[in-house]
Amino acid sequence: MTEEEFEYAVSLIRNGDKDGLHRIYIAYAKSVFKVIYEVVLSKEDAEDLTGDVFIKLWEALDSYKPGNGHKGYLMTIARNRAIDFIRKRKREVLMSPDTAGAEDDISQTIFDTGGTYGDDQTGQIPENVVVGNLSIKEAMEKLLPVERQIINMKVMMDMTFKDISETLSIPMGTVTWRYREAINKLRRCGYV
Amino acid sequence: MCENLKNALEDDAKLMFNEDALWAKIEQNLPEKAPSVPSGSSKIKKFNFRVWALPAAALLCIMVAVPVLVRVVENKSEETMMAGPMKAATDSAVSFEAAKSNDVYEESFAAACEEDFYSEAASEPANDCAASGASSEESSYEQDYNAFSGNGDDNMSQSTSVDEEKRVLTEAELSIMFDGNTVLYYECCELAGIPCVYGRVSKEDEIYHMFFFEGAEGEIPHLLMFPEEQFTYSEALKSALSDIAEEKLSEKNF
Repeated sequence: MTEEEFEYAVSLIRNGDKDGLHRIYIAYAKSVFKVIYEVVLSKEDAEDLTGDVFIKLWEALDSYKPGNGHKGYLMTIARNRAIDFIRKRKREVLMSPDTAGAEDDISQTIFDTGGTYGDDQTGQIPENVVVGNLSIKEAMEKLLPVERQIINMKVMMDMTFKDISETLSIPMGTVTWRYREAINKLRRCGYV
Repeated sequence: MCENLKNALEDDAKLMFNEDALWAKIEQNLPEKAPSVPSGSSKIKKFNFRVWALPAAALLCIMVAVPVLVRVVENKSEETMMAGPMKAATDSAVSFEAAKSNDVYEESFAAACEEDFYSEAASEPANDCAASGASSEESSYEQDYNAFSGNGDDNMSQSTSVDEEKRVLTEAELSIMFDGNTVLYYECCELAGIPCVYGRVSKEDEIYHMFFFEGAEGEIPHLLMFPEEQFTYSEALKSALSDIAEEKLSEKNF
C-alpha cells in the first residue's frame, strides 16, 4: 500500500467508512499478526491482539499525521500493543508463583534481542551447513526473535531499515547486520 | 530476491489465523463513528480553540499588562521629568521669580527713593532718603531725638501747629536757614515752646545739630548750633531759654 492509498483509507476512516479500515486490514493484517506473534509467541493471543490493533486504529487514525511513513506507524502500534500484553501477562504470572519461572523465561526471550532463542529450541545452525526442505515456520524458528521481527518488517512490510530501527528502537547498523545474518540463515534453509 | 520468502511468510501467516473471521470480529467491535461529523466537530473544536482561546488569552494579557505598564511608564516619566529638564525649569522659574521679585523690590525701592528725591529735590535736598544713607550718625541722632520725645517734655516736640506746607522746605530756604551747610535732615518742631526748624547738618566734615528760629518780621533769625558730640536736649533747651532771657529769642514774636 502506497502512502497515497493509505491516506485515502484514513480519510475514509475519518468519515466513518469501515471500508477504509478494511483496505488497511487486507494490506497489513498478516504483517501485523506476524509481528505480534513474534512477540507473544501465541497464535490465539496474536490474533486477539491483531484485532485490538485494528480497532485501536479505527480511533487513532483520526489524529494520524501523514508524511512520517505509515508502515512504521502501524508496526509501532502493533509491537507496543504486544509488549503491553506481555508486561501485563508477566504481572499476572508474578501474582501466581507456580508459573512464574516459565513465564519469565518466555518474556526474557522476547525482550532479549541478542539472546539464543534458537539455540534453546533447535540449536544454532553452523554457517557452512545447508539445511534443506524445512518449512518456513521451521526456518524462522532457526532465527533469533529480533531477526524474525526484522525479517517480517523488511520482507513482508517492505519497511526501510530506518523505519525498522525506529520501530524496534535499536541502531540501524544493528538492524542491517541482524537482517543480513537472518537472510544467510534462511538461505541455508532453502529460502531466499 | 525475497519474493519466495515473502510469499512463504504470507502463506504461513494465512495458515496461522483466519483473516476473514478476524475481520468480521473486528468489524463487530468497531464503535460507531458518525460520518465526517466527529472528525469535523473535533476539527472545529480545535479550530475554535485555536482561533478564539489564544486571541482571548492574548487580549486578557494585554488588558492586564497594558494598564500596569502605562502606570509604570508614567511614574518613570514623571520622575525623569521632575529630575530632568522640568525640575530644572521649575527651579529656574522659582529662582527667576524670586530674583524678579527681589529686583522688583529693589527697583521699586530705588524708584521710590528716586521719586522722593526728585519730587523734593528742589525744596528738600536731604530728608528721609538722604538720611537713610547717613547710617550710624543718623541712628545716634534718632536715638537722642527719641530720648527727647520719650521724656514727655513738651519743650521739644514735633510741631503740630505748623502748617504741613511749611514743613516742606526748599533747598534755598534750608540753605538760608542753616547757613549754607549741607542739610542731612530737617524737621519742623518746637523748642522751649518756640517753633523752629531742626536741622542736622554737615559743616566742614563735622556734624552739627542746629535749631533755626525765624523770628518775627524785622527781627534777625536766630540759629542755635551744637556739635555732634556735645549735643543733648538739655543743652539745646538751656541755650534756647538763655537766649530768650537775653531777648535774643522772642517767643511772642515768632
